[in-house]
Amino acid sequence: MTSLRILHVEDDSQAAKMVADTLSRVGDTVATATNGKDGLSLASEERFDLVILDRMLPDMTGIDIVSKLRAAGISIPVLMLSALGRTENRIEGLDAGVDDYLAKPFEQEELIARVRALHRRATGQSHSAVIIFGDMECHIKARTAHRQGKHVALSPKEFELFKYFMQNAGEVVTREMLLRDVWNLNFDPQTNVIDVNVGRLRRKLEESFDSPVLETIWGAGYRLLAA
Amino acid sequence: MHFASRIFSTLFGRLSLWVAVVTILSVIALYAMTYWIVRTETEQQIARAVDTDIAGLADIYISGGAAELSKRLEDRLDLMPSDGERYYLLASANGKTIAGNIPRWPELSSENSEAAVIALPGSRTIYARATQLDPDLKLVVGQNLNAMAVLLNRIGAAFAIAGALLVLLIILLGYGATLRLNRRIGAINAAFRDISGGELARQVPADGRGDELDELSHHTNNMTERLSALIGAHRDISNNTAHELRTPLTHLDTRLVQALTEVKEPRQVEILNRARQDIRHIIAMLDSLLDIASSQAKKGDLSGLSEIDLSAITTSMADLFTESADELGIEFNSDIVPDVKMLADPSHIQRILSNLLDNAFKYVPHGGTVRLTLRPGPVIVVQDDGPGVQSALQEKIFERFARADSGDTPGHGLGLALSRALAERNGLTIVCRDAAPGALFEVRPAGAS
Repeated sequence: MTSLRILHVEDDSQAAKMVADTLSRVGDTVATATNGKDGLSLASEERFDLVILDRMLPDMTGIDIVSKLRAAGISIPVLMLSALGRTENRIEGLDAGVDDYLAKPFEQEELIARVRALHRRATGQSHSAVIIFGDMECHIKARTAHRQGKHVALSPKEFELFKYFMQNAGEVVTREMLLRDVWNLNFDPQTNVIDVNVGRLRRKLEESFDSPVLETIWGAGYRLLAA
Repeated sequence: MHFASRIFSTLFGRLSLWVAVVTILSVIALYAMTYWIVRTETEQQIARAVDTDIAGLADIYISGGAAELSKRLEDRLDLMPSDGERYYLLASANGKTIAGNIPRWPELSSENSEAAVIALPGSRTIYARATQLDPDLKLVVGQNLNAMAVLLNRIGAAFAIAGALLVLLIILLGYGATLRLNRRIGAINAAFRDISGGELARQVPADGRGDELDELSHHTNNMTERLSALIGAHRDISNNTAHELRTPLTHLDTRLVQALTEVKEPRQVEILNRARQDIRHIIAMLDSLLDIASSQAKKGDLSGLSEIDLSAITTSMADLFTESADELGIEFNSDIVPDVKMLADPSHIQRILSNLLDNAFKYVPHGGTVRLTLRPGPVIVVQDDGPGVQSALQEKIFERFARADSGDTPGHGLGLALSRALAERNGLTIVCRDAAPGALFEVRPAGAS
């Protein structure tokens, strides 16, 4: 797994430690700044793969920092962590130029998945017309799914879900990511709609084959496996 | 015509019209009065002149006799042009002309010294008086009235021209003032439209003239500044409340996660995980309360709303819930008219649909039916054949923390209150009705029945 250099701007030492511990567990290096001013100067002096910003800092807001970074032409991917987790707050953050928004408290696995996904998105590993992973194929244009060379019939939404898993193959995909990227929802419907929809896709992909392809990761989400 | 009707439909335009009408009426009254005064005065003057003349001529007759009078009259007439001012006729008792320029004796009684306005050939009108000088001699003296008619005509013309100029001036001034006033009031109205559309930073233009409109603009600006400050304070309080409550809850959650790494006993793990779920639950409740407050504060504010494809959003939500229905053993049908568009925030609509469907799925038993309908209006209906909602509770369930049941169904009792607040934020409303059997929730434009 690639190890990332991450700048974390956070005034709450307990939260900073939790993020640093979580990310160093997967091999990333985390530099912490405790206020917006230090964060901005570090971001412009050193090279980082990604910035994690707290939204409410003692000297300025995370939104101000993003605006300043973007105004200075620094296009580094930014993940905002915030105690303000309402849909309205998320949209404000995304509108200000933040690439992803995660509300506190969050699962450690969710943070790892978001950081990885954001880095993948930023490094622009664009996908070709056909994504192949293990014994599965996803034909983007024809909108068809195949496993072991056999066609798997999927509904339009199931195909979208399959495509998203294939684009993030081998990586953890969280429920919140699926809601946002596949269903375009910025909130969590109270029912288990995501589990049910993923369950249906899993049955279709695993029916009449002997190996599992979708792994459920407790407290985080799902991961597509190469059988 | 359309332009004129637009001008006269304004306050100042109507006022100008009234001023013009009153001016016209005043000019007419003034003219009538002047006409009457000039006419009576002139007539009296003429009558006096005629009487004086008769008296003079009578004196001549008394002192010089008929021959002298006749000669004097001839002399006077010789000096006067043929269409002159004065007219005379000296005649015998039977009306035979002795001297004068009136062709024949008019119908005037000389015994009674009668006076009247009489017409002469050649469309001349004169005021004349007759008198009996002696039993066999009578005299008529008259004065031309044409000069008076000319004077009265001139006065009439002067009033007509002056009146017309005055009305024209009033219309021009009124038109100019109306345009100016319309521009200023229009600017204030436009500012108000923007402000009620959510643009609170908008200032009403004040041009420093210090008049009533300027004062109105200043008051409006003060009011919107205060409103904007209050909304800002509301947002800050909401954000601070959320931040101050979420931060310790986050710390608590972090501690529970730490504890979980050290605890191995399954029962204890379950308790810790339950505690973490409770934290999520408290946060969801807090967020819903803040969302309700924020939506209520923004009711009627159009900023942030855009034209959305309601049919596409509804179809996508129906799609998301179809699998859940399958798993719960509920029959889920949707009937969505395509291309229904409206001005709204898409995430709000998604949330309303999600809450209503979630509710229906929660209350409908295995084997039941849930039906989602969208038709132009827009009208969204979520109908089920579950236990339904008692009519006494159909309005109450939209209140915060209100629940239709005893509380064994999961949820924090804020879903419908939030749905209604979100609906109202987007110019919609939600009502609950009896579907006999089951419940029916209808989302439709506020104010429509």
